[in-house]
Order: sequence, then structure tokens, then C-alpha cells
Amino acid sequence: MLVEKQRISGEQLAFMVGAQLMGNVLLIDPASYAGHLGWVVSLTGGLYALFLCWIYNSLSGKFPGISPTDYAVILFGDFLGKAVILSHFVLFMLSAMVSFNDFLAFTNLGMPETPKIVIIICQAVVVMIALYLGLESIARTTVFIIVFSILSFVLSTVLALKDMDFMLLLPLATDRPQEFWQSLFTVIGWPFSQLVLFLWFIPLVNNPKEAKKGLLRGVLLGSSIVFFASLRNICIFGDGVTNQLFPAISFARNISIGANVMRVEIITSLTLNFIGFVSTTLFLYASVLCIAQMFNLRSHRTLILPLFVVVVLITSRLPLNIALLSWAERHFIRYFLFIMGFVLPVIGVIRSFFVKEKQGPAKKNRSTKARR
Amino acid sequence: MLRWIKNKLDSLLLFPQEDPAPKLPPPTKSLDQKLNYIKSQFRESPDVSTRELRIGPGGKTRAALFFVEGMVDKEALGIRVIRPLVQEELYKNIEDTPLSYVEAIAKHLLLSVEVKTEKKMHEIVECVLQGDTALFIDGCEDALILGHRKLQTRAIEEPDSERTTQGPRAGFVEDVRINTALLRQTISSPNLVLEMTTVGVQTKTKICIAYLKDIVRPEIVAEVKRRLNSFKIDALITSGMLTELISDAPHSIFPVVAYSERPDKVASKILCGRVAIIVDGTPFVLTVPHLFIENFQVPSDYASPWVFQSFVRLLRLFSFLVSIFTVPFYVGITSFHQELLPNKLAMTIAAARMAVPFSAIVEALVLAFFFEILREASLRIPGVAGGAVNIVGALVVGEAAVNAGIVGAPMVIAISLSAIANFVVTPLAESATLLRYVFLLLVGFMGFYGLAYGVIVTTLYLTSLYSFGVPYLSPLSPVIPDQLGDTVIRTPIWNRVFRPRQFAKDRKRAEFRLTHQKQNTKDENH
Amino acid sequence: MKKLLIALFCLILTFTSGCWSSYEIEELALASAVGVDYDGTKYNLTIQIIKPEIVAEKTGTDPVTTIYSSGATMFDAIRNALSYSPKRLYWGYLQTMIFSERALEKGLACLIDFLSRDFEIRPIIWIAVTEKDPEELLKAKVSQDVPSGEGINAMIESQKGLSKCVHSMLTQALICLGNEGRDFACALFGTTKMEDEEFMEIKGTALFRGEQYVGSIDTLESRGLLWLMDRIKSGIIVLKAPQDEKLALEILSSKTKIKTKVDGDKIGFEVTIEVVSNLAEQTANLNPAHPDQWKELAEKQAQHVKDEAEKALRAIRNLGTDPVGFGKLLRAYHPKVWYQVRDHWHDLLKTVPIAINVKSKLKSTGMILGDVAIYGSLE
Repeated sequence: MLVEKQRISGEQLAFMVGAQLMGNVLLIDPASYAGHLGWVVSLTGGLYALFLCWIYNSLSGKFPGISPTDYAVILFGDFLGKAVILSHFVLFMLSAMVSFNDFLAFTNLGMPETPKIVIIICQAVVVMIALYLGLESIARTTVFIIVFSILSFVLSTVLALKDMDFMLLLPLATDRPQEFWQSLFTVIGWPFSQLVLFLWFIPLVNNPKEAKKGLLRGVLLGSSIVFFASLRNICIFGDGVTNQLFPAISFARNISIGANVMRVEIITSLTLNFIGFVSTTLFLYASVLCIAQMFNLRSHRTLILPLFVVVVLITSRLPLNIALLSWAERHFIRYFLFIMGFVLPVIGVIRSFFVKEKQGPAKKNRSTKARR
Repeated sequence: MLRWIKNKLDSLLLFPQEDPAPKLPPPTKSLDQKLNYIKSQFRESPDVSTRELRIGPGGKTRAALFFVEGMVDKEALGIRVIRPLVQEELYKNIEDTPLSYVEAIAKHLLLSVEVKTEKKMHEIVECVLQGDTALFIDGCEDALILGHRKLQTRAIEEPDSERTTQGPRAGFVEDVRINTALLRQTISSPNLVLEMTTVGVQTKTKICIAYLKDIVRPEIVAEVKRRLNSFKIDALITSGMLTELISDAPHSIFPVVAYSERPDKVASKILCGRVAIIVDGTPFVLTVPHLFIENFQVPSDYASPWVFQSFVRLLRLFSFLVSIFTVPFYVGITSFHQELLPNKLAMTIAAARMAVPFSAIVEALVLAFFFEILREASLRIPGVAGGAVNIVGALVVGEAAVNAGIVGAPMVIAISLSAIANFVVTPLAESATLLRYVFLLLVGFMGFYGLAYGVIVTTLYLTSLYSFGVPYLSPLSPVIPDQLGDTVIRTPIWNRVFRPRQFAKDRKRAEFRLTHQKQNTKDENH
Repeated sequence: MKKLLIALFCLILTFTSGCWSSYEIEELALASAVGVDYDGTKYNLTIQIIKPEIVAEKTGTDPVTTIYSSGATMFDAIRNALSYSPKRLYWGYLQTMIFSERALEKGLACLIDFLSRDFEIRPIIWIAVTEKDPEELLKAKVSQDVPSGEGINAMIESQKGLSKCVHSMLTQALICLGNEGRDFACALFGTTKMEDEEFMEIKGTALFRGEQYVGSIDTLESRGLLWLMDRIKSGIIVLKAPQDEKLALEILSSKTKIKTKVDGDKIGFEVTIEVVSNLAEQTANLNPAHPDQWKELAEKQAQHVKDEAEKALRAIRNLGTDPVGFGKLLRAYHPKVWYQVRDHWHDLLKTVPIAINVKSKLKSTGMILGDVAIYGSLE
């Protein structure tokens, strides 16, 4: 059956989804490329995420308690199904390492002299400890981290209210529509299509109804935070938000209350650190579950050490100047994400209407291949 | 070949697989054989003594009392045992009874309260070594075991480490019988079960498991019993040793088993559905399962009005965090993230640190270790000299070191603050100290990012701990809404209607509040 | 075996760690104010460093040392300062940057690009312009013996009570440069001689058009500009009364609303200023109990404010700059019109009709009613 023996509750799933969406966006707002219309982009992304949530709920609702590794084989056939799963695995590893690299770049701001490899190893060790301790631990820690993050988000927004200029939101038109559409397509790819990773967590929830509610709540939570984050960034920076690499940190640095200026940025830094950890851990956990389920391992813990080595090696080759990744993003990452996150699940849902009642435990014996 | 070596080694095992069979005499009727055995066994210990009697009509039957001097109440022995035995008139009553001679003596003659019959010699010896008296009668296999103990125990007084402002001033003592009596006094329910067992090959320590059988979950009791049977140990002196043996995570720095010296605290835990383990010879009673939030709950919380006590509890939580994070924060801010300081404070700290030759992390470690030495020494020094050590320590560190320029004044303040805050939450004092050092090293390594990693790892670890099947961070971590009333703040007593779901199967408490006032005014209006 | 490896790994990690980014606070030279000058080829910086031991001991000596350095760009000049300082310069406590008019010749962006890119410098520092040499300015004293950096900070902060200059931080500069429609304006510093010593003084506002520095306006015009920008917090309005007497009104609150009036191609603005103030001082023997006189006073105040605002408007139109943000308003509400006119907006602003209406209200009269000298004044 499922490799993972631990179970989480629906609320914990909601918090994990919220953390995943908040994570990358709070750090590097993808909607900021659109300038002052960034909030429209975020809103559209949120609606797209709700649609995705509906698709994932219906897909996993047809196979309750079965991991996607198994039902992909049912839906797509043996060979194609395994190919789909492997490509998802590659997607998750890539997303984990890109997310890791983003947080690395951010940490490097505060401590420029520290060599990159040290921070990579430290953070990778923490993530491996999280994977070792299991899903329940990760879920509970995520709940704490999300509560802390939302509090710090609200605090920094409230403190900056006096500097916000709502007129900067205003012209609902733009003379640079090219950038607006680019930004929209980016947002659809990353971060919202990365929600596909929760297909692997849905069977791990206590019961399927709770999972559906949890996913919906999580998407609502995450998208609303994303929307408000891009909204508040625009209120402070206006069109200049396109130039900011880390809008949340620049936002926090602009807060000055009273004669004694307050450095609220430390709370924002810590929040981003925590959420970065959660985001990376969730991706790596999903990738581990993928592989472990595919080979029917007894436990996912044996994969942790090789994963550690791979992550450290590849992340150290990624550039610290994350703007360099935008070329890759524009040309193929966004399409890859869209296919993995949207197209394949939609095909899966459509196909699941035609697959007759083949629910139940997946075929464990690989020797009996399905005849096409 | 290897297997042969392994077998050889196994046969030379240093720890035996089971007790060596004691050389026991078979049960005999002869008094002399029994007395000879005793004399040979306890030749070197004159406190294990015997006293021969002549009982029976006409003093025809020989008997002997077997006891340990210093553990028996000699006066009671004399009045209640020896005198009725030697009075010849009383024997007339028992001659007609169909009972055996021993039983008749036990039921009709002896004035002792606890009487048992026993055949096996090693059991008799065990009982006598624990303070009972054995009565051997010539011609009978059975011996009578009478309980006339007069063990040395201290008076019941309030424990030093757990004082309260408004609550009972009683504390457990070393005798398990008195402790169980104290528990029964507090919980008069017939459902209170007190099961006894013995642990320890040499010490034969008595252990009592206490729980309320209509409230507690049977799985927890079964688990406790299973764990108590899962080890074999030579000697059990303190309940701390028992903690290590039955705890879920013996390597962890956080306590997974609670201990307490107060009967009221243990009683309220039993009433929640927990299991208490009383160990003979130590006044510290263990309670399982133990949750993290219990470390912050103190009996005096429930004595004063809830608003103030909520504030005090928040203060306790805050001081736990202060004791862990003050010194790492200080080192992190002055070494890595100077922008967090306001301007004036930065000037003061920079000026104070100019005289110090070490970097902040080294200074912090030196001062912290010095403080640990001071603390450890002050625990051991007898009362009279203790005050002197405190003053010397304070003077040495506070004044002289700062003046000499070895350490800086702000660092002394940070260390003292964290040390004082350490003692607010007593059960977590050791955990807080260890965490402080770990975080200090992490901060010295990578500034606040290291601290963030440390916090994440600690949280992950805490959320993965279980205590007897119950998640350690329980009302907070898998969130149980109706239990949140006693965690960070303390809600009034009528709000906490439900017993904790984690250990109680019967969840509804009888806690509600009558609204007297409204009824009174109604009557007045008529 | 695995545990042994992990333990060994941790042990090695602790010994090879070098805490690369750690700097002890006493090894840092805390810069508090920087003056930037440009002499055609290189930037000359005057950096004021505060000595913490003197501040902490609270002796009367000046806790400031000054370092001069130069370089081809701003960051170059800042790094070159290390040649003159044994301690590493730390910019986290920097409070003010002062630019000379010459330094601004090449544009504001050259100067502040480094400031916004670097992580150490806070974006909430004050930016000020001086017509003199920044070196002389930083040498000038601030009264009450406060080190110059903090002194400038304090002087700018206290402007909130006076409202005689437009003070801006680096964040506003970045917003103005990053968004269309509003230009940057910041405080202008100069020196005056008092008791044979040079003291710092705020002389007005420096105005920019985009990146370029276009000129300055004095304190009275700055007040008018503040009316238009809705940034008046407090201040004094002095009115003339008959017989050469003066009245002083203390501004309690003010609110400015600007509306755009676009009619096809015709652009117009309407500025509505609401002022509420107290009677603070009078020598004109005005009777506050008299409703007519009170009303007349309110009207006089309205006229005065309108005059100030119009004066400021004339000044900024002359200089060809838009610190009030009329362009931003146009862009927000009529984007199509804005996209047509934005290339020549500054010229257009000179001719666009801007109507100013003032609503004024007087609140209270303090603790006494009329003139202090009830009986017996100079005949």
C-alpha cells in the first residue's frame, strides 16, 4: 500500500498548502514584473489555483487512499504512467533546488562572506532531519511556522500602513501590456502549478473528505496571502516593484515608526527562512514518496542520504544571481510546470471517467504488465 | 569458527540470564533446621536476630520469632505477639477448633493486624528483611508473617523544590505505604487502583501504580505495565533510574516522564487520566504520560484568580524563552547583525566591548561555563559557607572581571538574566541550559540564520516526540481545542469541562458553576 | 557506525567553521553622516564617524572624527575610505546623506544606486542637499553639541513642527524615480553665523525634475509646497491685523484634496485645502467672543494659505518640476490622457489651470480671550 505510514489531518494539509504558496512568493514576488498591475496577476493566479484545486480534488477523489504513483499507472498505462511519475519526480527535485537556491540568495544578502556551500549544507541537513522525522513532524512544525508567518506578515503590513500610498495601485491600464502577460504566464507556471505536489499528500490525510476541504482551505489561504502581499508591495513601491529582487525584505526595511526606527526586517527574514525550509522540505518529501512508492520500498528513509548528496551537489551549481534563471523560466520551465501541473491532471481526470472501476490496491507485481 | 568463538563468549556472559537458583532449604517442620539455616545465613549480621519462645499449654511447644532489630516495633511485638502466646489460659479456646495449630494461633490468639502464612524460606527471609516478623512453630511447616514494622521515616513536610503560595503543605516521603495513604486521602474514590509490583534484584524495590480505572485509558495502563516488565535491573534507588528505563525517549533532553513530590499535584494528574508510579525509597512520584505544557503548570496556578494566573503563566513561558535565547541573541546581534541595535544602545555596547580582548562568542562561553561551575558548587556547599560562595561569585564576576576587562558588563547582565530565568520553569531547567549552549554555538557559527535552523530542528524534534502514545506537544500541536484552556493562559475552572482526550476515556468532568445570584434576586422581588 | 560518522561530521564542522560574516561591534567604525561632493572627475566624501566610548562616557568632548576619501564612483569612494580608517566602516547606523549641488550634476541616480543595492545601508536615511561644500557643512556645529549626523536627523525630524521644508528619505527618492508623475524634493541645508560660529540651518527645499536637480525654493515657498502636497503637520501662520499688529495661528491639522478635471484634451486641477488651527498669539486686541471677528479671522487665514500655495505653485512652475504629483493623479484617473502628454508634462504643467480653494476653520483661543494688556497699554 502506501509507503508512508503516518497520517496528517485536513487542517495540517491546509497549512502545508498555504505554506507552499506563500513560500516562494513572499520571497520573490513573481507578479512584481507586471508593475502596478501585479495585484491583478496575483488575483488571476489565485483563481487559477482554485480551479486546479477542483481538478486535484476530483482526481484524487476517484482514487481515495491510493498514491498517485499507483493511479497514474492505472490511468496512463504502465509505461506512460511511470514516465509521468518520473517526470513529476524531476519536477519536484528541480523545484526544490530552485526554491533552495532562492533562499540561498536571500541568506547571502545578509551574510555575503559566508561561502555558499556552508549554507547549503546546513540547510540541507535541517531538511534531511525533517524528512527523517517523518510527515507528522513536518506537518505540525508547518502549523507553527504558518501561524508565525501570518502574524509577522500582518505586523509588518500594519506597521507600514502609514507609508502606503493607495493611489499607486490605480491606473487599471498599463502601457506595457507585454510585461503584464509575461508576468501572468509566469505566475500560472510558478508558483501555482506547483500545487501538483499535494496530490501525493492527499492520500495521507485521515479521510478523503477532510483532504478535499483541507486542500480548498489551503489554496484560499495561500492565494489570499499572495494577493495581499503583492498588493502591499505595490502600495509601497508602485511601479518600482519590478526592480526589487526581494520585495518583502525591501518592504520591511522601509518601515520607520517614530523617532527610533524599528528593524522589523529581522522578523521578516526569520519568517522567510522558516517558510523556505518548509517549501524545500515539502518538495523533497513528495519526490521521495514518488520514488519510494514506485519501487515499493519499506520506508522512505533509505532515500534520504542519496537525496542529500544530489541536492547539495546540484544546488551548489545554480547561480546566486537568481535573475539569470529568468531566461530558463521564460523559455521552458513555465511550460514544463504548466503541463505537469495542469494538463496532465486534466487528462487524468478525463481519462478516469473512462477507466472502469479499477480502484483498489495497485498491482504490486511488476511482472504482470498490463496488456495494451 | 566465528560461531564457536561467539558461543564461547556467550557462555562467559558477564550478566546472567536469570537469577542464580538460591540454595534454599526445603520446607521442614523442624524448628531447629530453620534456625540453623538462619544462623548460617546471617552469621555476619547480628541485627537479624531470633528470639525463642515456649508457647502452648504448659509451654510445651517451641517457637521462635525471626526479625530484624531496628525495623520492628519491639513494644508492639511484646504486647501483641509474645504476651498472648505465652499466656496459657488462652490456649483452651483453640483446642476444639478444626483449624490447624498455626491457623488457630493466627486467628484467635495473636493481636497483630497483618498476618500471613508462608512456607517458602526465601520468601520468609525477604519479608523479614523488609521489616516483618516471622513466627516459626516447631512441628509446623507454615510460618506466620506478622507486620509490626517501625521503619524510619521523616515527617510530612512541604517539599523544598515545589513550594506553593496557597495550597496544601504536604509532600511525599520515602515509604511507599505512607505515600499511597496520602494519595488515598486526596482521592477517596473506590475506583482508585493501587497495584504493587517489585523491581530490582538486589533491592527488591516496591513500586505502586496508581490510576483511576473508570477514567484512564486501558492502553496506557497496559503500556506502563509492559514497560515495567521489560527490563531487569540490579538495584533501583531513585525514580530517575526508573524514568530512564521506561521513558519513550531516554536520550532526549526534554523530560518525557514527570515527577513530583506533592500529593495534590499527583492527585490532580491522576484525575485527568494519567498513571502515577510511586517508588519505594524516594519521595518523587512519576506520572505518565507527560506533556510539554505540563512543565509550565504549577499547583498554585489554580489557587489564585485566573486572570492574574494567566499573566503569570505567560510570564513563565516568556522566561523559558528568555533563558534560552538571551545570550544567543546578544552574541548574534553584536557579532553579526549590528543593524538591529538602536543607535544609542549600539554606542553603549560598543564602548563596553572595547575593553574586552575576546570575541563575543568566546566571552559568552567563558562566562556561561563559569556560571555553571558556580551553580554546581552552590548546590554542594553546606549551608553556612553557601552564602559566602554566592557573594564571592557575584563579586568576582560582576565587579572584578568587568573592571579587569576580561568580560564586558552587558554580557554579565545577559548571562545573569538567562540564568535567573532558567529557574522559573524548574522541570525544564536542564533542557533550557543545554539548548542555550547549542544555540550559542549555532549563532556563533552563522548568526541568526544558524539560530533559525536550530529552532526549526528543535521544533521538529519536539513535534516528533511521543510520551506513552500521546504526542508530546499535545494540546498545541495536534490542536485539541477544548484542551487549550490550560496551556498558555489558564481559563476559569468552569470552562475546562472536558478531560484530556489523549488519556481519558471518560471525558466529561463534573465542572459547572451554579448561578446563585439570579435565584436570590428572584426571591427578593417577591 | 552511522552514529559515529554523524558525530565525526558534526565535530569537524564545528572546527572548520570560520564564522565568515561575523564582525565584532567594537571593530566597526560607525558612520553617521556622509557628505558627497563631485569635482568633475571624482567624488569626494566626507564621512563622520562617532566614537562610541566618548558617547558612552557622556563627557563633553566631541565624539566625532571625520574621514575624507575620494573615488571614481560612490561605492569606490566609500571603499577607499578604508585606507584612512583602521576599523571597518559600518553603514548600518548612517542617518543622513548630504549631496552638494555639484554632485547632483550627473543626476541623482548615480548617487543612490549604490544606496539601494547595498544591504547594509538602511533605506530610511534622510537625503539633503547643500549649496555649499558638504565638508564645511559637516564641520558646522549643531546647537547643543550633538554630533552632526544625529543633529541633522533631529533637525529634520523637528521640521514636522515647523513645516518649512519638504523632507524626504531615500525611500521617497526611490519611489519618485521608479514611478511616473511625481518628482523628488528634499531638504536644503546651509549654514548661518551665530556668535562667531557656523551653525547648520535648514534653508528650504531642493527640487528635482526626474533625476536632475533644478533648483531650490526658500522656506516660505516650501510651506506653500507642503500645503499642496498635504504634508503639513503643524506650523505657525502669521496674519497681519490693522495698526500693524500681528496674529499668530497654530495649525492643528490640514487636509488637501486634489481633483482632476479633464474635458477631452483640456486638463485642469482643483486643489481643496482644509485648515484647522488655534489662535496662539495676538497683539491686535481681537475679541474672540465676537462671531464676526472670528469669522473674519478664518477668512484671513484662508486667504493667507491660498497666497502661500499659489506662490509655491508659481515657483515650481518656473522651475518646471512637479513635486506635488499632479502627473501621478492624472495617470491614476485618466491614464489615456496621461500616456499622450507624459513626454512633455513638465512644460504642460506651466500652462495647466490649477484652482486653489481653501476652507479654514478656527478652533479655540487658548486660555485667555483678548489681548494680555487689558488695562494700561502703551498710549
